[in-house]
Amino acid sequence: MDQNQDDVYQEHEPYGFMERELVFKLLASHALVDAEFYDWLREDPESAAAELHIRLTDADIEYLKNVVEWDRITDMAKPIRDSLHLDMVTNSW
Amino acid sequence: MPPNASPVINVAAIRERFGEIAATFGVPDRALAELTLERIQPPNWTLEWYLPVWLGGAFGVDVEIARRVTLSNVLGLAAIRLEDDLRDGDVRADEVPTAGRVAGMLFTEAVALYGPLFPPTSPFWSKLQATMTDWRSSGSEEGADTGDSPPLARRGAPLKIGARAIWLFGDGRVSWELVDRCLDVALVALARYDDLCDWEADLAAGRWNAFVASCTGEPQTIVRRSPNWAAVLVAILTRGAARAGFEQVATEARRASELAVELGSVCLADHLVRMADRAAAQGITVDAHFQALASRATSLIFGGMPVRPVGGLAPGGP
Repeated sequence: MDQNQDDVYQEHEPYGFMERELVFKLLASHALVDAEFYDWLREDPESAAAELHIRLTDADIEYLKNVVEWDRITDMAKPIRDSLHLDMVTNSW
Repeated sequence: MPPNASPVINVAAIRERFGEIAATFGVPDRALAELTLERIQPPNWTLEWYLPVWLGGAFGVDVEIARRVTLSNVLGLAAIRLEDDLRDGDVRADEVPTAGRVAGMLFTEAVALYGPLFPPTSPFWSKLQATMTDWRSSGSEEGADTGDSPPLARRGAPLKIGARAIWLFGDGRVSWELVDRCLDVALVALARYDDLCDWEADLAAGRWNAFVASCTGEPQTIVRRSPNWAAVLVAILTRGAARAGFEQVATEARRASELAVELGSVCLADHLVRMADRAAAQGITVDAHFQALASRATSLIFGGMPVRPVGGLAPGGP
């Protein structure tokens, strides 16, 4: 790979895999605690992510729009949401 | 009794004496006073119950004086719990007069116990008034630094009344400033700990909360309750905010413990070190709980997405 190719690669892939995982975690955490954001991410992932200063790739947007089984996830997320309260952890102390 | 506590305190005897004092109130007032006593039992209120004997042991104060100050602390704490309930709107409208009356009588009894110990001209009395003024200023001006003590420490300011009484009867080996600094640091740690555990309830009630403030700079108004709740949870889920909060408590409790060693109170120092260790351990437990939730949520939504971006992530933000 010559220098020019390397520059092009860096320009188009500024995030490492770790950053990508953090981006997903941030989006998922917002979706978990904020029902409106959850619906927004489902309906319009590009602008929902932009709200958090994240720009998704076209493939990511396609995945969120057409691959994710949102109805199934909505049911599965309920017990996670129910566990969000700190007193559930602190009451056992 | 907590480990390493001075053996001279007798909780049952103090409860009995409290009951005798409450028996001089009217029937409904007595019942409320006794109910309040049940809410302030050790080990949750260890400092209020044990600080006089711990400091008394370090400063060479007569045990009977330390016991008297402990009873005053407990009466005063009961009064303050009731005043807190009134301030927070936790008392039913038809019970407000009773709660206000009982709080006043308990506080009067708490102060009266110092009557035989200090002459009317003693500076103790003006300091007592100043301490209560500090406490009353702790309700709504949490961010303001208007007194000698840190704003968070003012919530526990009444604890200093008994501490000052013990110090005045002590051997004069240490300065009041050192005692004051030790208690300030300990009280800040306790206040932060309370706010970590109670942040959701405080947010729901519209009460200012230090932990919420550490997660979001937005005003803590009822209108912003929902977005603030989400902001705190995102901070916990993505930035480890709860663990950081507990670690801050642990750091402050250890600092207070070091100051307690300087005071010569091994019992107080041990208590604060145990508090620090417990807070640090709780931070790890809480963080593990929330990190697991964040991982599950991430996996649910993004679990099927390749970690390596297809075609690369688009550069920059919007």
